[in-house]
Amino acid sequence: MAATLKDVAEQAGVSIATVSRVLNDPEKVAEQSRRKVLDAIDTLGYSSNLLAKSLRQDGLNAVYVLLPSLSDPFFAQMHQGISDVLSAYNYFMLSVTTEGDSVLEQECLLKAKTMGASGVLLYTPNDPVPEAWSAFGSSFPILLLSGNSVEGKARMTSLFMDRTGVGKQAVDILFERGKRNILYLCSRPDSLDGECWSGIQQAAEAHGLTCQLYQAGRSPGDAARELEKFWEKADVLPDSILTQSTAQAAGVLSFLRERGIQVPEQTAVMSFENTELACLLTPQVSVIGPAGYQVGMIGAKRLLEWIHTPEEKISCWQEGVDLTYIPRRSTDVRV
Amino acid sequence: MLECKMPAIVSLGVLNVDFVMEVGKDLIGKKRLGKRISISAGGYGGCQAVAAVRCGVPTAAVGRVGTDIFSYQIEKTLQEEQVDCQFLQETEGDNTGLSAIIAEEGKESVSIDFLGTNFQITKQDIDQCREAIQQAKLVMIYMGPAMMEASAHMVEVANQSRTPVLLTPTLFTGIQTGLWQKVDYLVMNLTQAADLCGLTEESVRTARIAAGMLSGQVRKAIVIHMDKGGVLVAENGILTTLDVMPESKVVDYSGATAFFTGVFGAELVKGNTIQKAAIKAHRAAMLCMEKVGTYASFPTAEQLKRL
Repeated sequence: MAATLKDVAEQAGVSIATVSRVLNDPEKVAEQSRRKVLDAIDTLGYSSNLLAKSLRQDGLNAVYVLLPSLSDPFFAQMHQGISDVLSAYNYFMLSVTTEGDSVLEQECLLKAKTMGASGVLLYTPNDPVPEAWSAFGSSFPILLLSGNSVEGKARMTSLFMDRTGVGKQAVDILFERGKRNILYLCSRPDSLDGECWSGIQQAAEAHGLTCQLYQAGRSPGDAARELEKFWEKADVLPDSILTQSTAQAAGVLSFLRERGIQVPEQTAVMSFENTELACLLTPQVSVIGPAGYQVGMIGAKRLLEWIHTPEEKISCWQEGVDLTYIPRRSTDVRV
Repeated sequence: MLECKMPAIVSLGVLNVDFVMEVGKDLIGKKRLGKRISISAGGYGGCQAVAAVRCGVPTAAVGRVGTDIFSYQIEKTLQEEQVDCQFLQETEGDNTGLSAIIAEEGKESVSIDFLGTNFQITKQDIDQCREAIQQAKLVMIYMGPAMMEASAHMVEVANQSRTPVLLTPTLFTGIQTGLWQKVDYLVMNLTQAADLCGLTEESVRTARIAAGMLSGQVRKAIVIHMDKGGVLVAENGILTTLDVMPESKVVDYSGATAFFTGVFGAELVKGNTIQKAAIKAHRAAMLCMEKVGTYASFPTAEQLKRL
């Protein structure tokens, strides 16, 4: 039977509250009591050796990674980028998928605190992030890979990505190709991804175009189903569809192919995320937005620099997330 | 051979004579016996030019040699290989580049370079082949410490005429800001990728980090030759590992990256995709690694056709 907190307290000859303090705020516990609790943890196998070791070493060389999903190609590549950097610098990586649920994200942050993690990398669609997260700043730095606003939050930073600008640029490109009626498929319009929508609206208004927002999950199946519903209601398809993810673009292309709609002549398709999937589809999908690997790699590198700065500066790499438009046949016949 | 009066590729890089010494384990008293010694033309610039020509693409080498016996060795070899030598210049009073390569079974080869006249290449030397650069389909530049300024100038000249630039940097210190944006193809090996990242480990992981760092800055692609680990191509932000060959027998790395670059460049000029060119170059480089030495390890034109 697994040892409980009570077992540890009895073994160490201290109260449960003291055990709890050792786990959560070890610096507030006298060295003698701390040592007794840690020995009891080891004896009873209450927690992993890693945890005990981390508490002894005054911090674990581990980064907690919270991503909405690992099956989505964008986040899978992001995970790879994070993993490459962390392992190259001998950091452990503890990954959890959150589905973008802020409650689950908060629970994970609490666990990260208990574990004594060195830092947290988090991609969350929730914007702004809850005020309560500021409290975690005293335990570890948090870097938001999703580029959320972190103004006024201590030890929290964000990887800047100009989503509004990207939304505007996408519309400009479609306008140049003679498109006049734009549909944006987005899984959470009220979240961070709504920033793209803001850019889309601004550029559409400037060019005198029509644009509509329609909610669809990130998977190909969801995108195809929701597009079908949209078509049933609207009775006419727009001449261009912007998708939040390349997985959605896959669903859109499948839907259009089944109905014999020519891409890009009748309907152009463009994605706001850059994954390998975009190159594997027929036609290949044009993208304007970040590649998951680069977001993960740069985010992890910056977090490590932050953890080590100023005493131990890792490097002075100069880079940013690339948001260049990559034209392919889903918007440009001649590519 | 493609029909072209001007070279299709202009290649810049060090020109050396390689002394490849295979060291045995037998001792006579305190003396160690060597197994074999070979002397041939080498250096990154020479090797990549030979590789390109063996792929059937007319290529000119740009460089400086001395007036000593070694310059004759370089020119003779390059001419026999049908490398265009019209842009080779001579410098009096300095030695032709020499490289002593000590190869020992089970150990990584040690190279000691005496770069001599390679340090004398100037912007004016590049200007003398300006017309060829402007008419070429590709320039291949090995950007080593001996020719940083001339390499940067060649990039500028090529950019003026929109001639695609393939660059291989040996060091990442002293690289001028904005250089990557003027380069179409960046080719590296694992050692160079690790240097770029400031890491010591030479692995696929390091290669991915290096490619991720510069992805979006280089115009077309970053290509990293990873020996048995295959070849990593980063294009449009997407990283793909191709042609992993875990069973390959590697005995010596000398000359492999230069030959890789030459084949890759030539295959691009022949109209192949980046992926196809990278795979062929990787296979050619793996053949180089199966033998000791540089020039002597290079696959023949016939072998290259079969890859």
